[in-house]
Amino acid sequence: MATLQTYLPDVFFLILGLVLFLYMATDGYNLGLGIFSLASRREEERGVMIHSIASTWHASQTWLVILGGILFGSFPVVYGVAMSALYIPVMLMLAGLAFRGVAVEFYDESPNRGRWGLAFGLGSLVATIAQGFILGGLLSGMPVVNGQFAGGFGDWLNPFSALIAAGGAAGFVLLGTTYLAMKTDGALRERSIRAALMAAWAVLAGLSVILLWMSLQHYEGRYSLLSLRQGHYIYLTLPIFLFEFAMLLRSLKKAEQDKPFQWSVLLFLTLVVGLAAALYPTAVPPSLTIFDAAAPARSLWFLVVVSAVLLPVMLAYNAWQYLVFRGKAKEGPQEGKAEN
Amino acid sequence: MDTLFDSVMLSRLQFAAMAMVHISVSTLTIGLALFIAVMEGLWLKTKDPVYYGHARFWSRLLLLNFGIGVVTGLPLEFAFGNNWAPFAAKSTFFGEILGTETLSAFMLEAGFLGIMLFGWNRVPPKLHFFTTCMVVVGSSLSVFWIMVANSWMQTPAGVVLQDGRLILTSYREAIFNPDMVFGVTHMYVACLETSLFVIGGISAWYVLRRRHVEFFARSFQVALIAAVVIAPLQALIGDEAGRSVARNQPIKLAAMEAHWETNTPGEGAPWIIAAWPDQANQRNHWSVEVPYLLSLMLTHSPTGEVKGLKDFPKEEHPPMPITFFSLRIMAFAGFAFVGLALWTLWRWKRGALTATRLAGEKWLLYAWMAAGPLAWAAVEGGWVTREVGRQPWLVYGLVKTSEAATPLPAGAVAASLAGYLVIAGLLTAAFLALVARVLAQGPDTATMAPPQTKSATD
Repeated sequence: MATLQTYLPDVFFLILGLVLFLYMATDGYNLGLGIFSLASRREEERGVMIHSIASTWHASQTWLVILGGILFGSFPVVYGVAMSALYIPVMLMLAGLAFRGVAVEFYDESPNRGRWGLAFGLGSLVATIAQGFILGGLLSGMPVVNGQFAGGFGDWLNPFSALIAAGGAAGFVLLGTTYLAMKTDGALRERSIRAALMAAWAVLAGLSVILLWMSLQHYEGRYSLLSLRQGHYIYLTLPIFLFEFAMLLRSLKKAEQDKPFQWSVLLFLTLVVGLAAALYPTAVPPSLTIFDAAAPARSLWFLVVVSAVLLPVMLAYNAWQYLVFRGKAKEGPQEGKAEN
Repeated sequence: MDTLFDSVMLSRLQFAAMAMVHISVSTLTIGLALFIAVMEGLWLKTKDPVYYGHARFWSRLLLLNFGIGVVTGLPLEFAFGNNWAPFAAKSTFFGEILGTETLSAFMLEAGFLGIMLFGWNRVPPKLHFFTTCMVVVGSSLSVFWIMVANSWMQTPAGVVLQDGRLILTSYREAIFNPDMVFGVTHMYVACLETSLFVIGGISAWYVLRRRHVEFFARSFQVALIAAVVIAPLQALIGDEAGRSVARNQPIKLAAMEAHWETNTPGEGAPWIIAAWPDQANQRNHWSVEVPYLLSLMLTHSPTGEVKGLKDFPKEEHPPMPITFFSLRIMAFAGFAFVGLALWTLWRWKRGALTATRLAGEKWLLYAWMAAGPLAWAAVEGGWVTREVGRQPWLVYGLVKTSEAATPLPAGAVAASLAGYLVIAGLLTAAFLALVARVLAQGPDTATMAPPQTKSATD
């Protein structure tokens, strides 16, 4: 038990990584689809996009709620430091998510769908960019004194976090367009595949620039993710990433059904794993570790039992929900006619 | 708190605004989901298509309501890190409970909601009923956990203060803290009460306008049966909750009741119906009182001692007039609901509430329509009493609110507060407009036929 106890912060590092991945993979496609919807000129098309996520977006967004809840419970210091340092981007994200979510729910009942369609797209865009700045701001490093944020209020706004925001937006658009390619038919599917190809290249370009930037910073002796103890581990995931990228391009070129989305999700998994490997055991770079930031062992035991029981159950009923709503999305509300 | 514009005060206002918006939406989500589950269960049992129609009709409102609920709940969770970061670090218990809530309640709600709202024709009826029940369980669990966390802030137990941090000594004591049972039941019953007056009020509106009278007479009858039980029950729970406050938070109680002086032995403390309290001079300018009633309510003896606010150090007094008036809004609304329940019961016994005669009960129906908004006022009044009355403490007697606020630039909090008010105002206005539209359209017969009959015609 005592040895096990010393590993509890590591367990929560893993759980949080898993939930972050689940959030990015599920709400990532919702948000990316929202951004992509801004490029659509036909309202019927936007309707199909919104209907394709209407039944599952609640669950997707709830992974973010769970991410916050577990972070609050297991690493309260990280929660406090990160949220107060990232006050502005967090507020912008919440505003974006508010418009996005309400737009999905109101779309079908509203007489002016065009307005809610726009709110859906812009809300998704703002939330995505804000999330990029949140992650970028965290990875840029935050000075912590006595368990409180000791940096500047605008530190999150820097070239590195802007690069992460741009790359992240491209990544979400990749998820959204490959999801649409899976859920739709005809002209919309073709356009989605073309957009996915562009988004894929944008992701690769963004990642290259980010790595180049970090390497230069490191070379000049300034802080970057690479200066962390395991920072160079991020390079280890590159071969896997490039392999998956090649497979993604291949399946997009062949216009396959579900494969492009699956490869895109795997790309995100690889990125999260690479990021986690590079960060470990840091919770807030450059210096706050998961061991400094963890809640007392007793609290972690409480939460680890709760998570061990509930996470598998949640994954099971989420999977069931996706199973119930498998197949192509329709122009009308999903509930319309019986399937067979 | 010398100036209104310091960042602590702004953070408090922001949290209050977020909580007041969210609570008004989520009370309805919780009760509406339960109502839909009851209707769906009745349909499965009786095979009467009217119940199916009700489940479908109220689901449209639930969908609109849930959207606002989700997006207004999210900022509250983040606020603990954004505006109250030192609180997150000082006390782990609150975060653990919030974490448990997200894992056990929120995903249950969100994970099954899609099938509940959009899966009518995709899963068999019994399985669909199961998903509806899971949404009810999830939303009810969220009341339980959030009230565990909040009641612990009111009457903290199972923790000791060490080096400025609250160290947990007993989960059992912290979870089952003195206020927990009252907090959970009072709030849960408030959700049911608000929802059934909203459902009953909307049904009354249709009956009054003689639209779908038979259909809405059914939902009105279900609401009135529930109201006859729930309104008096809530009054009793509220009375018990008040005694719990008197035992555990005597300062809050004295502020709630504008009770300045401890009653001298042998004399009873009066209950003040209305007054104009003056906190600066520690007195009431005028008051209308019922003699002995406060002693009687709290101690069950006409001359039992009730400590006055002046007996406590002035720096521990909450903002007193707000606490006093908000309690009165809640309490008078509660009395009105008991009266309405009795009136309804009387008309029911006289056989006036059958589908054919109901439309003639004009005044009763108007009263039900007014009860919905009044129920919301009661919930807000109750929460303001509970939270403002706890001041200046965040965790009663242990952590002051001012110690737990993030040192943020006041301008940033002012901007986010203004942004929040604008966005919440816009979305609420849109929500109300769409609800009005759905109500004007009324039940749509196309989607209201149960799935079996429908697939036969397809």
